[in-house]
Amino acid sequence: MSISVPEKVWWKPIDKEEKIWLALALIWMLISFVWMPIYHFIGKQNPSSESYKAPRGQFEQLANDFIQKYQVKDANGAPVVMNDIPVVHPPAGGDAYLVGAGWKWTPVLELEKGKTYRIHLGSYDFQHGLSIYPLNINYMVIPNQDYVITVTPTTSGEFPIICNEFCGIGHHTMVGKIIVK
Amino acid sequence: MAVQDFRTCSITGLKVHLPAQNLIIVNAVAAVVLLLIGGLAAAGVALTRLPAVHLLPADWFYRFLTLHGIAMLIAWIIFFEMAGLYLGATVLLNARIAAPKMAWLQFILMLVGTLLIAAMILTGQADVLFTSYPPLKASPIYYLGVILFAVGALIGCFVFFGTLAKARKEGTYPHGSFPLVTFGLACAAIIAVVTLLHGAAIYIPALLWSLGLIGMDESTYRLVWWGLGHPSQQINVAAMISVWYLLGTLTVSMKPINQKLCRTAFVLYVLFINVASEHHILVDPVFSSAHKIWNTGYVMHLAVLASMIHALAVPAGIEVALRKKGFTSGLFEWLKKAPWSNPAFSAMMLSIFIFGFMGGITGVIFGSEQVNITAHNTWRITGHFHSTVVGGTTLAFMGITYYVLPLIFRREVLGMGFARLQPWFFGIGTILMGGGMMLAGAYGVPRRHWDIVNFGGSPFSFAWDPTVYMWLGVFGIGALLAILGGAIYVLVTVLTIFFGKKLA
Amino acid sequence: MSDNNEGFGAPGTFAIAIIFLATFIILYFLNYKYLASIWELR
Ligand code: HEM
Ligand SMILES: [Cu+2]
Ligand SMILES: [Cu+2]
Repeated sequence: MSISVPEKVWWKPIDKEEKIWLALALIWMLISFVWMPIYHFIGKQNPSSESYKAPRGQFEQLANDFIQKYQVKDANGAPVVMNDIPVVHPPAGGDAYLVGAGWKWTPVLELEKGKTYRIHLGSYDFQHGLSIYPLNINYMVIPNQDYVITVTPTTSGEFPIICNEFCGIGHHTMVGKIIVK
Repeated sequence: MAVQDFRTCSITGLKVHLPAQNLIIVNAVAAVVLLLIGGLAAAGVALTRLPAVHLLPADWFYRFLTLHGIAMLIAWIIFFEMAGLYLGATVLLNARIAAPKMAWLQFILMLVGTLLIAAMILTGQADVLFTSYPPLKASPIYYLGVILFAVGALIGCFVFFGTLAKARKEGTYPHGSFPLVTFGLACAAIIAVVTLLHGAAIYIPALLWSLGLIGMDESTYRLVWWGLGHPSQQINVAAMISVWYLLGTLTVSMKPINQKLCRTAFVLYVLFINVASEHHILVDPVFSSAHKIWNTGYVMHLAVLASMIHALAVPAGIEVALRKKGFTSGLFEWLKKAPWSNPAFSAMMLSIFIFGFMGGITGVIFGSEQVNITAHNTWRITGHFHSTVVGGTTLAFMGITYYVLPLIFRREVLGMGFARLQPWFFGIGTILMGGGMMLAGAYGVPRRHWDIVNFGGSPFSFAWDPTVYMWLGVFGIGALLAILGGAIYVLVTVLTIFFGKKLA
Repeated sequence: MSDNNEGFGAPGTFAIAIIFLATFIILYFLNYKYLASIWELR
């Protein structure tokens, strides 16, 4: 009985079936464990380990400089915006900034399919959750941190991005966009 | 200390220490009341997340969500566990409770803590959800409430250990080792102590920070907070599995198939599960992949191994017990002829099934380093933990209630017909709710979100894959069924306590 | 009440456990299969 004291010697050998299950379970646990480091070598989707301490003001400065430098201009040379958010075309293979703050994702990034970008994620206010739809790619965006994810878009189209970490009363209004051409 | 401190249970023949019985009663009652409050909040939250209803305004949605998380995950479960600890240390060992005054202090601190937290949430002074990630800031009284609650729980654990030591010294039970259930609860209590120390390490700084006395680093908060948040779920796992063993014995006279195996598996929890907290921060900055894999892989997977052992041992024990009753034909006659009309039995079986097949599998998968990219903070996670902590732990606790009512409250369960249906409503409801959440989440539906249709009028709003609405419908049906099952549980329990036939 | 060892007498449970393990393994790798279809991330 589970509710009474066991007999004096309860350290008893286990049965064959139990041993088989134990072995199978252990093997599966070992496989699923080593699979994670293995996937770093054979897989193309791995969480990033690259991040830097970046005080709010410093990150804001870097992001603004980036937007200024690479904002898309229309035929008349006027900066292009989308719903008041600057549209920015970073150099292929280069660095890009994506800021979650003020219940907005800034800027709208315009990327090229098959090119690789180092996207710096950061926030000046609350913690946010970057979620790229419909791919379902999710990263934390945390104030005072510069989190660099290295991304190669392999499909083109418009990808809405939302926030999936509660960041206050405007949380659910936080929608942005990544465009891949 | 007179002998009349004890009564002898006419059903089990166990000796029940009356001061311990009172403590079990108050903690269990507080648990059920908080389940009711958490359930009301759940109804508000679920009906808001259903686009067709969208019941609450945004601020009240987030407030109800904060309340739901705290009332359910923290208050209902931990009050019930306190009752369970006292039961496992006294009734099962024929022992008296050590330091009953301290045990009352446990209850009062946890109650005051709960009231402070609830008051802050409902007055809009703690709109931070139960994780309270800085720089979201609540009133200092909120953090104080959590600290009081945790100190209470810590005291409860020490009363439990004290009671075990006293029982052993006084030789109140035959010899040697503790019964398996008590052993499992002791493992849960050890994990609880370590967890609560983590809790102090984060909530005391958080209190000081909310008072403006110190700064707070957001990433450090997340790491240390999950040092509390993760193992606290393992307390629930260890307690739930102890309750499975207890229910198996009470419902079908099950014996553990192998004490060595079962106890070793409990020890694995203590050894490994405390550490594996980084699966909550796999897509966070600051920590390297190597660190995250080591933490969640090596350590978590050994803890999962323990769960896999119980996953075989508990149902195997049940099968052996039922076969002994003569249900031996084929592979599954024992399942067909099992005592399904006993709500405690069906609750236990559904709990085992939902925890294993839904909660367990998805937990490991979503917690793998790479898959987490496609799961973090989506509704997949919410679906996962509703399968573990609702379909698993909560349902198991509901099942054991059908024995606690006659054995401790000494009332015959009222409305047995409803009670028989209750685990099915709650269990199937949880399966549909959790499944719906996980499948919607697979399309990217976020957790903790007031408006996934219009995004509060955001100009960038977009349309989901239409399949999402189907899964939201499945979620909705499940949520309503689960709420119905929860309501029946609360009603049956409360009516039984007040109006059930008194037992000798 | 002693727990005497009478051998493992739960073939039904063992069968369910094997189904459980198979489900687990299949779902695990299906998730990686989906993952492999999205953008390249490092
Ligand atoms: C009657 C059954 C229940 C229903 C219908 C229900 C429904 C929900 C819903 C709709 C959410 C919100 C999801 C979101 O917006 O992200 C939620 C969150 C949650 N539920 Fe439940 N729930 C139930 C029972 C429980 C129980 C018994 C527990 C714990 C023991 C629990 C723990 C939680 C937690 C911890 C959260 C997360 C809160 C957060 O993200 O801050 N629920 N539940
Ligand atoms: Cu947000
Ligand atoms: Cu965890």
